[in-house]
Amino acid sequence: MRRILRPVLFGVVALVLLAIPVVAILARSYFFSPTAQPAKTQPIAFPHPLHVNTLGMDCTFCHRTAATQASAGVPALEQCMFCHKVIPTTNRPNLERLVNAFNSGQPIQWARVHQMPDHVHFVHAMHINAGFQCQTCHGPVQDMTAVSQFRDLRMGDCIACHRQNNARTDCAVCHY
Amino acid sequence: MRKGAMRRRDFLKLVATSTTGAVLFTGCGIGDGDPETEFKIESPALNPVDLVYGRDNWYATACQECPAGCGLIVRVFEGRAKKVEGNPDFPVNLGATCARAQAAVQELYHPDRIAQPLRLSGARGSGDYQATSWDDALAAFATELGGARGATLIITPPLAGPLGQVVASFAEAFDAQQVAFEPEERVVLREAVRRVFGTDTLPTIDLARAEFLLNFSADFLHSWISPVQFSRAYGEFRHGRADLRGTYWHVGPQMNGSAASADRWFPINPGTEGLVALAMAQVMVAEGLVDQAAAARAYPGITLADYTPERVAETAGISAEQITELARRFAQGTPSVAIAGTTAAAHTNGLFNVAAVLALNYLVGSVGQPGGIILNPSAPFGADVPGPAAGLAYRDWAGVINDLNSGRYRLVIVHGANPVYGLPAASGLREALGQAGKIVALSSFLDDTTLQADLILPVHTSLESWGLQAPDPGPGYQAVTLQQPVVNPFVDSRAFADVLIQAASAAGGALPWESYEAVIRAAVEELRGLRRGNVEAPDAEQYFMAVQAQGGWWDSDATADEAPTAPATPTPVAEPEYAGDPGQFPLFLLPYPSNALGYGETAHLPWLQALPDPMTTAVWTTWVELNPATADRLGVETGDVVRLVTPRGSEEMPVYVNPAAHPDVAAVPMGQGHTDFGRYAKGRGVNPLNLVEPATEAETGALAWAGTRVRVEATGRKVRFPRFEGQVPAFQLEEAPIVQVIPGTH
Amino acid sequence: MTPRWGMVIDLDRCTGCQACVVACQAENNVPINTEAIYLQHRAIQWIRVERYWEGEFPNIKARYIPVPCMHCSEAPCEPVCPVYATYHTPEGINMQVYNRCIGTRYCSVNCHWHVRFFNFWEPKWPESLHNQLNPDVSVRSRGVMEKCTFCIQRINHAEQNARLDNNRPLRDGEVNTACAQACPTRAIVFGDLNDPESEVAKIANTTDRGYKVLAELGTNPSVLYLKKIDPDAPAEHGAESA
Repeated sequence: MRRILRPVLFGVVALVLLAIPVVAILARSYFFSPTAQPAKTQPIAFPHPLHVNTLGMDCTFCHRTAATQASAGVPALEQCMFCHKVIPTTNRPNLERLVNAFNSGQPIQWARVHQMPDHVHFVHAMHINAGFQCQTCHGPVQDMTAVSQFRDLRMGDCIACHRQNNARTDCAVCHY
Repeated sequence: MRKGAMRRRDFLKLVATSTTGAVLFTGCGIGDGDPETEFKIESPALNPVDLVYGRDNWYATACQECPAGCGLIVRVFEGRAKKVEGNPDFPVNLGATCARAQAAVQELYHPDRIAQPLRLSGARGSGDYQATSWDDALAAFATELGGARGATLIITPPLAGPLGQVVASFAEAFDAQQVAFEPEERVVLREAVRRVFGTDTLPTIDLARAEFLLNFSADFLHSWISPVQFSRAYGEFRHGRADLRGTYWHVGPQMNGSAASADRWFPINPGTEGLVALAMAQVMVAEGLVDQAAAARAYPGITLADYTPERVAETAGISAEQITELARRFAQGTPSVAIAGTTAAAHTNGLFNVAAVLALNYLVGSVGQPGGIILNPSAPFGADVPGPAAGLAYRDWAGVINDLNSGRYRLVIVHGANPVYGLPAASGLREALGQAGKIVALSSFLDDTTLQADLILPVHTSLESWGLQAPDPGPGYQAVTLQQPVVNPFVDSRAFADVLIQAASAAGGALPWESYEAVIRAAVEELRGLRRGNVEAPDAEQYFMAVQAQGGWWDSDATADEAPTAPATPTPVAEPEYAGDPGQFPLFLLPYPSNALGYGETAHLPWLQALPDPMTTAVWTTWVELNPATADRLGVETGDVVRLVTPRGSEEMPVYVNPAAHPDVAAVPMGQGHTDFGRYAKGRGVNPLNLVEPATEAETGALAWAGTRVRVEATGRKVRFPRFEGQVPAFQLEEAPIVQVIPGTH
Repeated sequence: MTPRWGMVIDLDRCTGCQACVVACQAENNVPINTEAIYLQHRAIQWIRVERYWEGEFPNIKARYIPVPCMHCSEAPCEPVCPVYATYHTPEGINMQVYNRCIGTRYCSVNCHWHVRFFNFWEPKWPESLHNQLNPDVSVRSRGVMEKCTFCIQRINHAEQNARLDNNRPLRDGEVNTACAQACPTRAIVFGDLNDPESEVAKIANTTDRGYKVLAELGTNPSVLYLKKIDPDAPAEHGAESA
């Protein structure tokens, strides 16, 4: 009896031990990716509240192609300089960084905040033109001093919203 | 028990390791890619107005992969060229492209592109180069140039239009000799067109309105002069008219890609195309199908009565009845058109072959008529801009090679041509180049000729360059493609013409232009001065932009002058001659340009190397096609390595048993066998020109590359033969029972 | 009305030039088929040109047939996928969802046309050639099936543009696959079979040469072939004028 039991017990223990890494990987990909990212440090602490709330700028003033293209677009420094060439930079390290970068022709590398899962083709224009506000997905960016991800943005989130709004839910809309 | 404990401990250790491994894995974030780049979004300092992130732009330009000059549009995405398509407006190709045009992007981003100027650091031909700066390289070039006045040789492809103008002016400034290299049978074709139709431009075929096409050996759908233009017309010829399907018969020694589409194929012996044409003319006259006087005018100095089908039949390897049938069908066509080219021109009697066939069009009144041969007008450029010119005939290359050997040239400049590969090894050009003082190559790739250079200046590929070119053959009226850079240079290269302009200026022989772009702009401004064509604009700048946007300039009213009614210059009858004794060398060696690789100029592009040959489906290699009966006699099958022996040499390659091969012909595709041409071409396959006896065409002196006999010997070895056939099981075509599917290894 | 995408391939126009093959590879990030891959019989060609011999020398003919995915309405590849990675879109396209695929290859076994390809190796390009890759198309990794998508990235893009443009319907000719666009003889015509005014529907509805490959399997392919006319064969069509 014991001669049979021992190998069986070994087998069970072995299977459980082998399953741990698999479960760990699956759990990690479910709970940690790609949503729920902490707010990231940006090379320039861009104050959205100042530009949107105080100065009353529209999102598409800088993210110009949000309503017409797949990508919303991050403006070139040139565009910042339309205004910032006349705004004093003394003792404002963020602005100094901007002006220096522009003058030396160095691009600014922003940390990406909203990261879609892999294998998705997302088109901003379709969503804006369906009447959604940017805030529906991005949250109250106008009040965030440091932008962080607002929604889950995983497939379940997309599908739930697509269903509510009678949008297409077949795979090839996003995956190809 | 002890044993068991050991086992358990080992096992636990193993599990522990793997668990730790998995946890480490997770901790490192495997699967997230490289966070350094993937999670960054870049704000550039400046943003060109036409660059929108995530959106593509399409720019019109011109194709340079072969001399046909098709119009292209190129998809550019965030500064990178992604996809080439045909320019739907441009009259030569009307939106279509061939396989080679599609691969232009691979040339641009080729991993083995020369990225900076190189200076030879080892022995010539060793391929040892050291990178140098443009300033140093240009200074070195200018020094050589200044010291080699009257002793400079410039080798390019035939250059017409503004680029030809710059090079001619450069050659004049430094008293240099300019020679052009192109596939030798084109030299013959151009001379034949000049004699038969009296034009320097190549004619086009109005297939869309023709009823019967008789083609002698030209691979006009895949590789001959302007395949996309002809393919577009071919589609219309077959099914563009509701009530009429054009009929196409093919006469030639090989079922090439075009012959495969023919309704009937008449296999003949290589080089007898002209004789068959004469016999057809004789039948047509004898049977009263055509006007006798017209026949006498079409074949001046030839007694047609001497060329009865019975007399020609044996030489041509075709029955007299078949010749009669061909003649009757040709005379019946409403209208008929006859063309000849590719291997027909590559014989010792190539000129006669092509001229005799082209003259058939006079017999049925198809010259300059709808559905016939449409002559092209000259290009709409100024008088100082060179028109289309033929390359140098082989006979004249011999003179150049002699001069090289005698040390006449202190400087050789090579651009866009690879004569070391494209002329037979027997020419001795490679060795002769060794006698040149200095060789400067302006090239994007280290090919067979560039490899001989002392100094290499990297030049733009076609998608980075300016250019203005009149397609030859044109669409039947004046048309010009504008080539514009669709992306910024990918490597530290410069435009060929700009390098000439800069070097000339440094060497004290300044050319009258600042840059090549200025030359193009001036030429477009001259087009504006003509006050006709597709583009209208109020001023020069807008006019230029409109031409850029449309991809060219054309005027469908600017057709050729009235077509002649008879050949301008007679061409005497000549029978084909073959190098090699038929007893010793029983087969005809028939090299032929490949669909994808052409004459080897696109062998460096992996898409084209991997593209199955239309007939054999072979890829990445060189092979010899043998008829099943011939292969049986030799005891070989597909994949067996054979030795091809000609009076000039021998080469080994695998056999492809081709059921459509002529029993007396051993056909070998050109394109492979490069000593260097990037990782995808280097050391791959065999150049069939190594086997060719350098006999020349009697009248033009061009190389008769199809005029050599060959003996095929089995070696007893076998290789795995890369081909597409057999990758998937075949299935039956509707109502077309498959009689034979070559057994592949399923 | 929802479109049903379809294709007509006229075998009497096709000359076997293979422009479609390269155009497809360029558009869809198909890995380079190296010599080794050919020798392994693992070449990937979403559209291929097959060549058949008919007869014996000298009365021999070569016939070409370009074969993309047939996009069958009742596709045999779809029900066998254990993870629903291959499915049918409402617009009649047989799609492969790469991120679902676990590489069982059942679909490829069940496809009679052999137009599904498995990535036996990680696709590799030299670094500089990455610049050519189409950003609109996923690069498929090792262990994943791939196949012709009727250039769905182009269809999606055109549909999005039409919706952004006052939600107008798609116009015929607005979407074209890479193979049809390149074809020098216009042998390949692509479009919406549900739109009676589209070129592809007009040809499909009026031709007397149409047939579908392996139609007897009852899968209702979306690719219609037009027979090659052979004037020497016992005549069925009166098109030969001689």
